Amino acid sequence: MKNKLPLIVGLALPALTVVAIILAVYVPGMSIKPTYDFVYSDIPSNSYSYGYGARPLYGIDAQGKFFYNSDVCNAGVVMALPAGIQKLAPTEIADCKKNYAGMRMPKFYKYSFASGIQEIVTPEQLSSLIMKETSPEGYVVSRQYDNNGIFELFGSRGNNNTVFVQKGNTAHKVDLPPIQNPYGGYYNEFYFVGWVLK
Amino acid sequence: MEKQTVLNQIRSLAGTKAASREEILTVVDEALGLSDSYTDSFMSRFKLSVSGIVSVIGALIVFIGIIALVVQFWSGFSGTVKIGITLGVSALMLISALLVSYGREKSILSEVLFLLSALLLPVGLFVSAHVLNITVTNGVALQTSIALICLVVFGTLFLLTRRIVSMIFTTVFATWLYFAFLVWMVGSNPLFADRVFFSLITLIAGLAYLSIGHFLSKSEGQLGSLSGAFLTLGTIAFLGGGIAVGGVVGDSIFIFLVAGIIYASTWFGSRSMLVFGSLFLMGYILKLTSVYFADSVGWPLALVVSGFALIGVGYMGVNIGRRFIK
Repeated sequence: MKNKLPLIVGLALPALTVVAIILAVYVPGMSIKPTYDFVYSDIPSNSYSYGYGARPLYGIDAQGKFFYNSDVCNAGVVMALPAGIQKLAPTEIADCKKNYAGMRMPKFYKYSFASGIQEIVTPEQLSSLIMKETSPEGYVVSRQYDNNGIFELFGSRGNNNTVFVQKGNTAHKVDLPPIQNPYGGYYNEFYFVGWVLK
Repeated sequence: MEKQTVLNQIRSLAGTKAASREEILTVVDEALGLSDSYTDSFMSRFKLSVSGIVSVIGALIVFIGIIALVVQFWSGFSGTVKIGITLGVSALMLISALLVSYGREKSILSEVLFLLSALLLPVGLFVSAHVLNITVTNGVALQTSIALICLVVFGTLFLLTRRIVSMIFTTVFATWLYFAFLVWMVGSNPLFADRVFFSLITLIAGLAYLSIGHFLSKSEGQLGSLSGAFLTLGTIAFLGGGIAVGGVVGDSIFIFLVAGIIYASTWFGSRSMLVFGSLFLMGYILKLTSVYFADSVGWPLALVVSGFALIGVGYMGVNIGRRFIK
């Protein structure tokens, strides 16, 4: 038995590491149970803004109020733009409209972690809400890329959008329902907007 | 005794073939403290004849040829043919290897057939998964499954045959499974997305290799000859993972890891552990110089100090080798 101790150690070490990692990944995540809903979009907020003063398509301002610039070329905004963001000059507007004709506008989704239900919400509905990037319970949402390989070998980082809710040293993967692609099929684009404060 | 007399005696000994060239050189090396017990045992226990080397090269050429053939005519092959020339050939090689090795202790042909089978098995499984449209959401999950199948096949073969090649591939597939499964489990979890996680699991893999290498060093026969390879790879993985952790805490702990390896090299009698331990210690000194001291004391002074430290490490390594490793 004593002679075989190095062999036992050699085989047990990787096995124990695997068990420890599984416990470290899954056990702390079980304590994550946010009671607040969060809102996300299927298009990034900086879409269509390159070269036009980086005007965000949507977002939340310092007071937590949602804003949405439905006309990215700024000819007439549905809601007020946040302070500091200027309208385009007339020549820029014409140029912008030419570039962004027929563009796809964002859809917004509200997800309830507690029930697992996701619903489409309009910008008008969102404008009455107060939202924050961090929930009152201290949770944040992050989007991560899946590993499709080891050490970036034999595959690479995938382009799946995997969403995690994090708090301190704990994280829990969120299995969002797939959203319908306007061009057919389903996809899982995810751009976090904010936690809805109750 | 006069030097010329001694040399004449050695000449006459060699002339009568009472002692072989290797035996005379081994005695001289042992007397001068130049032998590495692990490395030498590998060479003496696992003698690769010229025909053996040619056979292994031939096997690799066959493997490359099959891969080239598959790539060249891939689109023209049906799914069945694709599986047949990869997984099918692997299975045939495996059966042939078992038949050839039956009842023979050291058949180089069976080793070559095992080698070909082991190289083609994962390729064949990947091809089969692709042809049979076995879709998995994550590439690492597929790798984990294939590594597990390969490990089961070659682990069983190792238990049945105790052949050196089945031991090598059992280790390769087990290591692959270890990394693939951990990466799959962790997934894209942001808490494990940094370099430290990969460094630590590599360090632990290195520790496991060292432990198994130590066990094998006490084994007789062919398997014992692998101990040197295990100790060398274990040292590289253990110290490579350790130095990659980085940060103030990681860098502070690393010096103890290197010291442990250098001490263990004298305990295990492994020159390769001592060499790689010294090389990593040199790398560590250079890293400390560039990260912590170059900006404070300036590059010229830092280089002078680190240069002296490197000379010291080299001197220490040579001395330890001469005094403690026979």
